Amino acid sequence: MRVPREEVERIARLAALAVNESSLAELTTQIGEILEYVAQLEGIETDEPSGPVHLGPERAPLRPDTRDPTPLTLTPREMAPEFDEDFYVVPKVEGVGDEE
Amino acid sequence: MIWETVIGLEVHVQLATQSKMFCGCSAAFGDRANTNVCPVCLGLPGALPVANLEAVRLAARAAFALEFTIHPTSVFARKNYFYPDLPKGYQISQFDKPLATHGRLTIGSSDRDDVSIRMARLHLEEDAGKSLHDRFVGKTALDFNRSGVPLAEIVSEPDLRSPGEARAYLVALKQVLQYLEVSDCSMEEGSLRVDANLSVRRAGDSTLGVKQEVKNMNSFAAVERALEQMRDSQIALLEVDEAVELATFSAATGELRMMRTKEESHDYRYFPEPDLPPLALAEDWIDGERTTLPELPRAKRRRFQQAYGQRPYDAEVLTATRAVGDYFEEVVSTGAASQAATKWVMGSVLQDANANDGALRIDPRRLAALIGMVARGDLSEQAAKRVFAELPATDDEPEAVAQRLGLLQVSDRRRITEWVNTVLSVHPEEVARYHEGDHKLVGFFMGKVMQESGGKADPKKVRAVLVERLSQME
Amino acid sequence: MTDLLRGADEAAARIAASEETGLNAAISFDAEVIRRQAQELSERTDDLPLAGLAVGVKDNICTHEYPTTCASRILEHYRSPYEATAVRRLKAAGAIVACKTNMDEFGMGSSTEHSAFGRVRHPLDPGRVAGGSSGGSAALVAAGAVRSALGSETGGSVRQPAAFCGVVGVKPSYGRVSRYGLVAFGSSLDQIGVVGRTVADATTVLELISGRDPHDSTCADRDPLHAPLERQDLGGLVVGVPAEYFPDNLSVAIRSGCDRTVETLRRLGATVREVSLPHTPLAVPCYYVIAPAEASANLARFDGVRYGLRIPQADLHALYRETRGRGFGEEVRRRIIVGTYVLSSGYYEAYYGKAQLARRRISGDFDQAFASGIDLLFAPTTPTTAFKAGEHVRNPVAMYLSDVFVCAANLAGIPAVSLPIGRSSEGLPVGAQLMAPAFEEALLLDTAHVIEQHTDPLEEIR
Repeated sequence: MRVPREEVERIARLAALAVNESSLAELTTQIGEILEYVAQLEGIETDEPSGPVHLGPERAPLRPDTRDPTPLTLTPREMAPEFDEDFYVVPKVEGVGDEE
Repeated sequence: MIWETVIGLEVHVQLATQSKMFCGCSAAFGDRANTNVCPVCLGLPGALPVANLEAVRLAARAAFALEFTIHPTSVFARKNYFYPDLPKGYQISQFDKPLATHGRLTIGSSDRDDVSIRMARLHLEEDAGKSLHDRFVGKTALDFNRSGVPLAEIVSEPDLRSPGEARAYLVALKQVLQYLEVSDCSMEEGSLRVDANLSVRRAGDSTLGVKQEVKNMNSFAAVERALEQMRDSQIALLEVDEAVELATFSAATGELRMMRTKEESHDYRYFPEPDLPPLALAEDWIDGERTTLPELPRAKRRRFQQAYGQRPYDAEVLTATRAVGDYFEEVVSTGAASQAATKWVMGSVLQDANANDGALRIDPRRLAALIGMVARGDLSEQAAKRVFAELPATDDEPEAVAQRLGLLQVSDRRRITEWVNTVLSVHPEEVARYHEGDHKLVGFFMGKVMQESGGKADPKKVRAVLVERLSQME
Repeated sequence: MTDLLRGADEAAARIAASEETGLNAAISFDAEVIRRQAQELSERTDDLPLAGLAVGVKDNICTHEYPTTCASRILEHYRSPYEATAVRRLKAAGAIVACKTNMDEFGMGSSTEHSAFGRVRHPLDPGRVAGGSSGGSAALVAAGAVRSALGSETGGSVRQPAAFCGVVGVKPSYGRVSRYGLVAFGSSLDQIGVVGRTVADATTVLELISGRDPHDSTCADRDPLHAPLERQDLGGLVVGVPAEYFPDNLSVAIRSGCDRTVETLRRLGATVREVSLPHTPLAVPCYYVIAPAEASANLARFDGVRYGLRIPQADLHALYRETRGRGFGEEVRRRIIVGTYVLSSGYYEAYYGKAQLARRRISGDFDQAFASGIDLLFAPTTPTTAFKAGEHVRNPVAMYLSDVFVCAANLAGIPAVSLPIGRSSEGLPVGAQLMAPAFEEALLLDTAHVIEQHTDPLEEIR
């Protein structure tokens, strides 16, 4: 299955992945091959209900509403690439203040 | 041209739990930033969610109260998008199998009387962290204390026809949720958030116009205002045959500002959350929650009108919160007549509460005792108000307070007759004029007798004795 | 010097020696860290069933002892501030986290060539791969450096390298072992597994790490596994041999090895019956939709905001893209893109929806087989013996096909064990696997143990 290069670029943006120009061609080919391979699934008839297959417990266990967090042996500050005062810090989000 | 406004609302309410939706961190508001965090709500590698029973319970109760159909099996789903305050790169929400669908809420509309507003769905999800865009220059600061706090998202159908109806819907919704103690619904603390969408069409058209959205309002008034602005600008465009464009606005600053949206940002790639089995609720659990719902505002209003003979407005005031309604009924059940209790609670009690952060400071039993004293004629209305004002500062019974302040009324006939006789004997001219037909002079005599008694005489008795004595003298 | 300290030093020396041969099976290893744990153990007064056993831990399982890198640049210096349930339980039983083992980045690969820290060499032939993604764990056990190691499976990542390296690899039922602290790849498939020198070694570890965990909603509400290895023969057992696992192009050594083991099964009293698992051909395509789809979401958290690598940029979206673009290796990027694609609007039903259907069918095949009176299934673990390094690196689909016999068990959530059954004429190990109904690990391991007792894994298959 051929996947247009622009489509790979669009998906890469959606996945927040930089893809450099030089590897894009090979990546596009490989993605096309993978998608063609998995496209075998298209042949399955949908005569039965779809929906996810759940392994493990049939119902979600529910925990009591108590405060007992797993303690951290390293503080957020110690783990963070950038931390100031009490906050994690990132470059300013564009369109400031607009989003909650 | 007659235009019709069509509004839909998406409301997020924080569920009033101790701990977060999927981890044991405190869900408290206002703690030092990034202290209520753990591997789960920070999205650390390898951490897994475990759902909070109380959050499910509160959401289910809200769903019952809003007449939703609750689904015994619902499914958590991942909503994928990148935003720095979303730690996992996805939000655990519910998508095609939500907890509840098809709800309704009746609101009072100024244009259409009572209207039943349909609701599409109520689902559970986790909150994101908080982004602070003005804390540091050129940077966005992130606090993950709120990350993972449980939310119920309640989505209305586009059944609202004016900004005023939108506000009425929000007021009614908030009232129900507060009655249930599902959420404290504080817009200031962000525990109730509203996204609104509005479109305008020609009256009678069946298709909807182009929808615009608005977010980040900090009060119901702001919601109404933002919707009015959107409505007016859309109508202005349509009047001159221009097209309304799809847009999302922010009302954070009080004015509408267009928000940047990326075309791809709407491809959320929902899929069932593999870390959580389906949320399956046992029938008997569901029934148990359904049958233990408190009386809801509408039912209480109706009952107050019927049982206590209240006017609609009175019933509305006295059912505004569950606490006030319960207080009123406590006053009645401890012996006060309902009419007097209505007057007292709507007057002095709510005045006092408004001045004291909503606290109902006088216990209902003492208020009932005070009302009883007025009814028996032991205390005048005026004097009772003075006693009421003293009650918060003391544990004494109203009777003792009235005694101490010397406010107890005298209704003893013999003493009242003495005062009446004294007054009549020193005002022979007025007595004569009375007998000539100037019956308005009763007021004059009343005043004099009250004066004579030092304000302690029961005015009703005084009037009776006066009229009796004057007629005897004729 | 106590026995514990001496044992720890010896374990460290063994790992150091095998690493010196160029195995590259460990990402983090420090004799001091091992010694310190032994010291702590020697101060404990409680019962230590593992008595200082040195265990390798795959580097996608969170430990306090070393960084947890997932063999990725994006987590190169990442230290977990909490410990995986499985690791906590092993340590409580007296194990020492000896080293963190090399792997395909985030578990994505079948050769341990996709590691940011270099590929793992096959212990018997450095020009070949050790299999993957738990290649480091398998190679380390095969080299004799440790008796057992934790691995993880999403689509055969314990059994396949175990087969390539000639050791035992167990993949428990989905929900048998807590995933808390296992860095997620495909959450509905992931399971911590064990590589052991013998079935008994692997079983001991599995028993200790299994059982309910309030931190994992998908973990079964069951007591820890109790799997006594007590059978002497296989009398009364019905073993199914699925025809679909013996295609025409199956390597001769593997076919012959399996035939020989089938004979052993019969000799030991088992009834062997051919069965059909007709949807087997769908397993690999199904797996390569579901696993990347889940991975695309699971790996979204690596964004350079709260921990791990950040490539600073003035613009936030550039920061995301550069951090992720450079922090993730090639195969991980490929799978994220495939996973994002199959979930994106317009493609969901055609791929993800169909994959769920396929998964049901594959699962249904096993249900039917087991319902028809079959106790266990027997099949080859891999279609070939360990392949040469570089052989499939540029051809992802060819690489994926090396999972053809292993990934169905992950899709169905059933337990399986791979054990060595001989050597090819080139001297490379040949593995075969047993699969059992969900939560029948006791029978599975008991049977594997009997086969092991009657098999010489070093004997050449003719």
